[in-house]
Amino acid sequence: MRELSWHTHQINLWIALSKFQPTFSTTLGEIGYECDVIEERLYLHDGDGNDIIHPDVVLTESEDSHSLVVDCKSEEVDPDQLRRYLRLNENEDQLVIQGLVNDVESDNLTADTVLSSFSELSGEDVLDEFAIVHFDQDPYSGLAIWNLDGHEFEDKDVKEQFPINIKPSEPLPTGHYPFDIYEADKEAMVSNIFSTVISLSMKEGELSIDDILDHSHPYWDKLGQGKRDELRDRVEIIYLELLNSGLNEYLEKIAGTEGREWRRTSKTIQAVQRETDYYVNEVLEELPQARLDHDAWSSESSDEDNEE
Amino acid sequence: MLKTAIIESNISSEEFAENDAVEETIRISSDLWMVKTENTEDEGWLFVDFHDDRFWIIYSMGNSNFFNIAIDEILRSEGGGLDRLWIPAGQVEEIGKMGEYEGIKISFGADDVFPEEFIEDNLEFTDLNIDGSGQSSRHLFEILKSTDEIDDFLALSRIQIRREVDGEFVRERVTNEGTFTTRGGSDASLHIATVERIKDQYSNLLETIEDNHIIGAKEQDHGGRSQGSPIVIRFSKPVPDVEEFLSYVVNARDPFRLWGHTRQIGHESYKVDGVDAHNGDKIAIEMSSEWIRLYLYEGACGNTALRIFTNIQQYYDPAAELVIADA
Repeated sequence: MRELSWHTHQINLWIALSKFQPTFSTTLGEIGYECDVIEERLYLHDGDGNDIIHPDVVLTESEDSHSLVVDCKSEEVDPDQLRRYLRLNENEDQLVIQGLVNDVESDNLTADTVLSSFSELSGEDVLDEFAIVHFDQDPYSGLAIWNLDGHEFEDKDVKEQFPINIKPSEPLPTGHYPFDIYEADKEAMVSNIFSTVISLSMKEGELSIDDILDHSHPYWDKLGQGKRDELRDRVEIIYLELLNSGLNEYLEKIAGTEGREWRRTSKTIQAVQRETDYYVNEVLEELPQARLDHDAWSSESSDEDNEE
Repeated sequence: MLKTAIIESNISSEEFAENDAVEETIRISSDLWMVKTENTEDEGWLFVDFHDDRFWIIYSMGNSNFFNIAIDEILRSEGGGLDRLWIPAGQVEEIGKMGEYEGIKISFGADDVFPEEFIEDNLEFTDLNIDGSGQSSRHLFEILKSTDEIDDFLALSRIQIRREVDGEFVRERVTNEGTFTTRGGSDASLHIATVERIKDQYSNLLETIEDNHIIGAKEQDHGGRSQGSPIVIRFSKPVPDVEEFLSYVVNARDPFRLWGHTRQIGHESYKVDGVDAHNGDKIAIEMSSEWIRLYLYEGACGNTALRIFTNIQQYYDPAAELVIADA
């Protein structure tokens, strides 16, 4: 049982490790690391040609000018991707020059390239230039975060923090980066959009797709254009499905009160509460599925019967 | 007797003039208005002090019932724009340190939220009300606090103190909703200074929450830098059935007024994507048997967290602890 895709879980965990977090671990935050969610391309070019990498998160300790450039993996590594990441060595300044790392002089920056996963990547053919972090979750013994032997961090301060043990392991923190486009994030996405729509109806009375995106996902407008478009497409589908499922009449009543008068809104909100699971399930049933060869759920709601 | 209430505002004084409970205003100065209001108890004038944009102070010489109904109606007709204070039990005890105890009130009322069967299975008390005044109030409170069987159920909801400064004194009764009844004194300025001090303490608490615990992302050249972390409410004893607990708390009913979609995300853990129906703030909750992680998002008010926490103290676990970043 899990709330999100392993990829989205990992983004949340890296953020949580850099934050005040009495129910988790603030290990990296305590040694000065701050976390940026990137999901955008970085161009690497040298005598051997051009390559592109897409780090998921970059954690930076600006005083020592060191970054952890993290790619969150599922179960496998792609040799070509590793080859491209290797070119970050000696090209760390590009992180600053291209704006993925801020508040650090480009000449001073050093970096660890990190692969993280809930699976063991130790059996994979990964060179020791890569630091590997394994999130090892057990509902009974807790969450252990290992830095695998032979793939240690170059930065001594970071290396000394591992292993990190957290008990209980559940629930994992998921509220920083609440959903992504993956099939396993679907229920979280529908549930989140649902609450955003209710909140905006109460507070603003009117709402647009951009309003919903702004209030449902802290990062949506700070990611690469491709990811933004994909999130927007899916949020729009979910919103329309929520309206189609019968929520629209309640939203009109809630919006009509402009957030005033609990007495006037309470009956409506209670009526929605009784039907909450129904709406979420209805919408989930109507959403397109992920293809077998892809983790993301489709935003193409094309009707195959009409295709020639 | 002088009645005073501190209220939290997210609106302007001009918007307040449109409040359904306000019938007439006389502007003594830009920061001090007289406001006429009428309710089932009486009609009369309130003095509203706007010198602090966020925390307004309302005064009245009318009777208690009239004043309490007037404050309720002002808050209710403004939805999320105005709210009362939600002072946690620990902060009420801190107020007690400002003077000599003259009275205490402890109110615990699980039966206002939870059904009998749930209370029998989970809690030692259905409700607990202790209301005492006099010189031995502090002694009574200390005896109760040193009694193991009861000390986890002692959430102060009201305190009476006698405060002396430089030979002047004031006797105040202060509730955990930020209302005051001044029962006597030698200097009105000392009352005003006491109200200001409590307001500032509450304001600092709210500021700490809003500075450190609003989840968001700051724009960078590329990507976004994570901001904020969840507020943690730690229970004094494990909650035996998290799902059942949430079913009584996240049901869009008084007193919590939380609407949300609840789902299981682990063997014994649950997540809620919800809305605080007091003010429409979007929230998320992750809950294990030991604690709640409460996520507030951009545009949310710190008062939402204090309302949820204070209600948990008053109706389920008076010894629950609010864990926030140090100011």
